[in-house]
Amino acid sequence: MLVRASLLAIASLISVGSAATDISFGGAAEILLAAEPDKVVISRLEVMPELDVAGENGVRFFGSLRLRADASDRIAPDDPAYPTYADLSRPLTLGDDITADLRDFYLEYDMGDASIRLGKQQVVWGQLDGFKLLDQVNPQSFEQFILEDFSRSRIGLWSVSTEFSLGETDVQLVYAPDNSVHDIPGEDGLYAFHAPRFRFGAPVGTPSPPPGDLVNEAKAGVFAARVSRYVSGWDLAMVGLSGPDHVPLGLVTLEGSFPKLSRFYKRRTLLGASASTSFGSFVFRGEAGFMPSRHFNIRNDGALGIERSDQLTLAAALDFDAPGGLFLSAQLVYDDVLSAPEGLVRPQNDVYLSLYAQKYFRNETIKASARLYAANSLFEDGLFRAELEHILSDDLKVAAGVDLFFGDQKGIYGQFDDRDRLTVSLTRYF
Amino acid sequence: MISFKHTFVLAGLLASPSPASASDTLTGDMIADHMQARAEGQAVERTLHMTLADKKGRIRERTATVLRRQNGDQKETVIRFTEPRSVKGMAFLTHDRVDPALEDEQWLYLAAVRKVRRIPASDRGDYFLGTDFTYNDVKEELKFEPQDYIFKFESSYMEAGKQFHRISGTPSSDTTAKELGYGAFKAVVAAESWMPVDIEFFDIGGKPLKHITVQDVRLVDGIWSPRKIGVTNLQTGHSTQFTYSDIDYSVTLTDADFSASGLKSGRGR
Repeated sequence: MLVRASLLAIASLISVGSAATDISFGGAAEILLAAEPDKVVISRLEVMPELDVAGENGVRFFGSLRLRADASDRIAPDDPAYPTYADLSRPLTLGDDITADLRDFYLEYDMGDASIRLGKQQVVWGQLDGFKLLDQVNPQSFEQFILEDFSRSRIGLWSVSTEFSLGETDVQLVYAPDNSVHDIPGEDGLYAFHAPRFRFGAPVGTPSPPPGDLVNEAKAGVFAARVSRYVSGWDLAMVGLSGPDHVPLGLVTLEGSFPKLSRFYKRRTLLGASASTSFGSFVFRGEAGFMPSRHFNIRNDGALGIERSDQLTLAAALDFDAPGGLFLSAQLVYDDVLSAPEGLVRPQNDVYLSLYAQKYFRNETIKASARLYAANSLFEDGLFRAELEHILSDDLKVAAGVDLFFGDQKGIYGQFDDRDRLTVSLTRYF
Repeated sequence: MISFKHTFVLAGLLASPSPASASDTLTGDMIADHMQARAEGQAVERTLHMTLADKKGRIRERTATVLRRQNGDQKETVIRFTEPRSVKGMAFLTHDRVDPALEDEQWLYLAAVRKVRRIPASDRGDYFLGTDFTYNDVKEELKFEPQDYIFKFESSYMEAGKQFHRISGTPSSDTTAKELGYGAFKAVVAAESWMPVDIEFFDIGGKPLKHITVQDVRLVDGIWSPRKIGVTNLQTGHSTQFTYSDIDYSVTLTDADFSASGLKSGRGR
């Protein structure tokens, strides 16, 4: 329905050709090579064309497509079906190696103090980098764990979104009749999860039962609202969301006499707030999220079950514009399952830390950055990333990076301890 | 807000018989005050084309739409990049407070990550988005903040029937010098427009640092408006040229144009 409405609206825009004042076509093409100590694991060509048509009177169409071809075919070798995507959102697979993904496809009508956007889009909320606390409208692809920038791994949803002002308060309302959830790699994927917390409590090294049904019980789609306001130097926002929990629950079911691991998706509700302000060379960013009565897997005596508990997540971040053009940032996230039931497959609470440093050189043609992620312990479960980016010209960029995981197989980052890699990419804008 | 000092200068302008006859009694402070009092318009929309060149002649170009308005005690500016593709959609919002005791605020919309971020108020001496202008250069728009410098009138001369004044300045304190990144400046100011046409900045050690030239200054809606501002960093060989076009002082700008939430969508644009 939404697709048909979008196409009709675009057609009407184009049919009044004289109203279209600005048509922009362009995009980027990127070659990415990623190598582990003994092999190349990603050798990918990605082409991302974009079409932007801005008509008079505030009507605009934006579409972006992503074509990917990976000669290595290691990321998801036998999992081209994208089962967690809604039918209309699912990337098109062309053989084992090529996918075509419609990233954006929406029509926007801007009325000055209000706008409405209809079609496939990404809604990005929250203040954190690399953590999804309030950024919960759209699901994410974890094909490359968190190594791909969130804006590229975020899964677009067919939705309608409107933004308007009530006095000095900005309001955004979103409805997405699209039940896509996180794309979590299969057991044979390059970044398949090994940690028990992501495998419904199954110990490291034990095979999972064959995958069974994938049942999304949260069919009503996503309803989300955000109100934001600038008050005395503070950017404040509150969000409310009801929609599919993007994280699966597992249950072992029997098909005949054979056990199967079925995945279930329940609804969840998120209530949250964010705040940010600057003082001198510092910026404070904070987020809080509360999910009442969320469903969690428990595992007692080897049997999987489901219990409900409240979940509270708090985050604080401090950015510092240091002398000499050095930018530093630290983020701390505390996540707690309140009154955790016995046998919870994840820890009752987690503490995450990220530290980031960035500096530009030569009139911002060279950017050096490094980030450390750590979970629950600074040195026992983490990921260190460093990247050097060089803008060769307005339309050509090269980058080289290193991703180093550390920790044991039970850790969030440590589960990929054998996935250290070097990356080189070349991006050409057109 | 116009200070008593500015009010005095404006009154002086009205009473002044001509810039030439006034030059005998001009001081550096008076010239700086004339520059400060130069009209900027309540609001303006401009297209800004940036050309950045390194010492090997490699060119990078940027095009942006620039909105600016005076809103009470703060100057609000949005710079929204339209070209090239690698930065298209990136937008930069500043709320600059007239009162130096109040902190400026800045937001950045990175189209690549689709997120508006509060960013720390830049140090005045930091370089602006990879150009050879500092944030203070861009904020002051070819004016010298009276509190920042001790000014000295050097001389006046006539060229092509127009009068120009030479002034120089040194930072009012060591702290200010460090903030600005300048140890001194020399400038040539056109008496007709009170617009500098040539500025040389020296670093804190006294070595030549930057050379700014202002060209093609025209009256637009009664407001003196430079079309080309070039700067060369004499120590790195890198240069930047700002070329303004489509200057419109009659544009109607709203709060949405200068809000962080409007930054990503360019609402109203």
